[in-house]
Amino acid sequence: MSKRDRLKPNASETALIFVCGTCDRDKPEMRTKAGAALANAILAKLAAGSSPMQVRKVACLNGCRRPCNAAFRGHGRWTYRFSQCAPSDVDDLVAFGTRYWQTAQGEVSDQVLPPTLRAKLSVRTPPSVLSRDEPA
Amino acid sequence: MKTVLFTNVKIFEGTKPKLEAGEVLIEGNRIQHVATTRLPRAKDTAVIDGRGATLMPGLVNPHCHFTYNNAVSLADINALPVEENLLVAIRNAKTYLDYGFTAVIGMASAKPRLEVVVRNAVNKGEFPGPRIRACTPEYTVSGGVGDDSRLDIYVPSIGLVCDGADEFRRSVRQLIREGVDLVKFNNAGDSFTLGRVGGDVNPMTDDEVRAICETTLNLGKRLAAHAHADSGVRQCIKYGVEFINHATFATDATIAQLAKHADKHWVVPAIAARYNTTYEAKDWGITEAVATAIGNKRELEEGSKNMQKMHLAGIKVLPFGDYGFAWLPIGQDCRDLEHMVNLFGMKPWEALRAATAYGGEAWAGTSGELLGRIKPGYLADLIMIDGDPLKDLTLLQDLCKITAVMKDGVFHRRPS
Repeated sequence: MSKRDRLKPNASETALIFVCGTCDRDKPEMRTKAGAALANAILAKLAAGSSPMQVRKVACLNGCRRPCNAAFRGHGRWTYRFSQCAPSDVDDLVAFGTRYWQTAQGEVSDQVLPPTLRAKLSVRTPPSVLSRDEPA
Repeated sequence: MKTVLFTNVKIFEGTKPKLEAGEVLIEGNRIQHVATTRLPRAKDTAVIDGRGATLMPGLVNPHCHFTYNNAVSLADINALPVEENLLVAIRNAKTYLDYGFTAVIGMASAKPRLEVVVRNAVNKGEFPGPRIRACTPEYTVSGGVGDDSRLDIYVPSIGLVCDGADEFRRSVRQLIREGVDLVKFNNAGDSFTLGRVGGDVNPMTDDEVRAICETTLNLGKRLAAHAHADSGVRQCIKYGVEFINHATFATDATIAQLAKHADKHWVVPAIAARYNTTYEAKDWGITEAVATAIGNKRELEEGSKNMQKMHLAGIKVLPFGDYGFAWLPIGQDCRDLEHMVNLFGMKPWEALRAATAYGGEAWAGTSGELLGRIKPGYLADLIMIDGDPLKDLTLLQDLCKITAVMKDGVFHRRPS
């Protein structure tokens, strides 16, 4: 990764991509959850590119009605969630994550999102006033 | 007596801001030794090499709805027949233990005896689950939170509806007869019942609250309240209610009074219900505009400001709470630790202290039991984390990173 591309989480932060491991709740019969499969696909992509980003596989991202879900958030940062994600979105999600973690507050303009990902943006929340104003 | 030695671990003691490399010896169900140097190894000691993982006290959830079914509404919770509800509660108890919650305080049972029954079954070893303090359903008044009936239509809901001191006394005695550990009542409304009784309104009279509290304390049980409203928080201080949930609209004067009695109360804001409803419930028809209109966003903002003040005033603010609904389901609970930092201004170690040492004190109450710290004499309720949660609280949300769970000296999940 070049100096220009270096991720910039705050000093004590890990650059993360959150993936819901229990999507799709409406298909309990599936042996491997679609969310878990998405997480594994992202892990493979990150490993192939030697990215320092890590995957955090969580119980839920509150997007159950539009599985599968991936999110980005951090202390003092904007929160983004993308719904209806599929393995075909992995490249775009990783590229978004790289851009997200290159900025101090993670604010990424909708204009730079690829159209497929822009359509899947389901949560965009500013950082809390308290965390935003804290020094990094 | 069975002994287990954790070696090559970094220890989060429960009250300290840093990890310390060391070893921890468990004998039976108690922590026997904690050392920064090598401990003697007896022949039959099981040695667990943590390989640099963090060893910390098990998490304590002081506002746990393990009988809830991740439903969209209170009506959906009640539509579930009691038999199916019991299965949900048993499954949720295991989920909590899977996520490292070795102790929980029930904070309103979906149906009258559910928490008692699951507690007893877990204590007998019939099902896996955390240590449980079993709670009543939410005591409420006609028209209060948890009463969804209409004049000519009875709708079963999560509340036990009583009106008047004598009705409360009778019902509280009955539920204590059934075996609850604590009694919870709603001396506030909520944004979810705006139009009927909002969060800053207290629908209970002082006589009613006194009757509930006197009856409960007289029978040696503990008290909790859904207390958004300032007058509700004041009643909690006046009548000895330990668990003050939400405290959203407590005034500065009330906070000052609470600070004087900080050793007698625990404040549990359960802020995720406000945050998730405001920002992440759009798929269920609750946009940010709707959340603002019903007052939920105001509860988030005022509640967050109050928790900042309370934390600075030395009042013990605890994490977790109200998970069990569709847009804040069980399993997501540790996201609350991020809220403690982002919304309340705590440092990560302070959030973890609240989740462990303070939670353990809250669970134990006046029982004399010791849990929530890695210290000799304390119960061996421990979890092992692949990474440093003081630097990354999100580790606790990922089952893959919770590499061991021990409750009462017995592994629920043994490290591979």
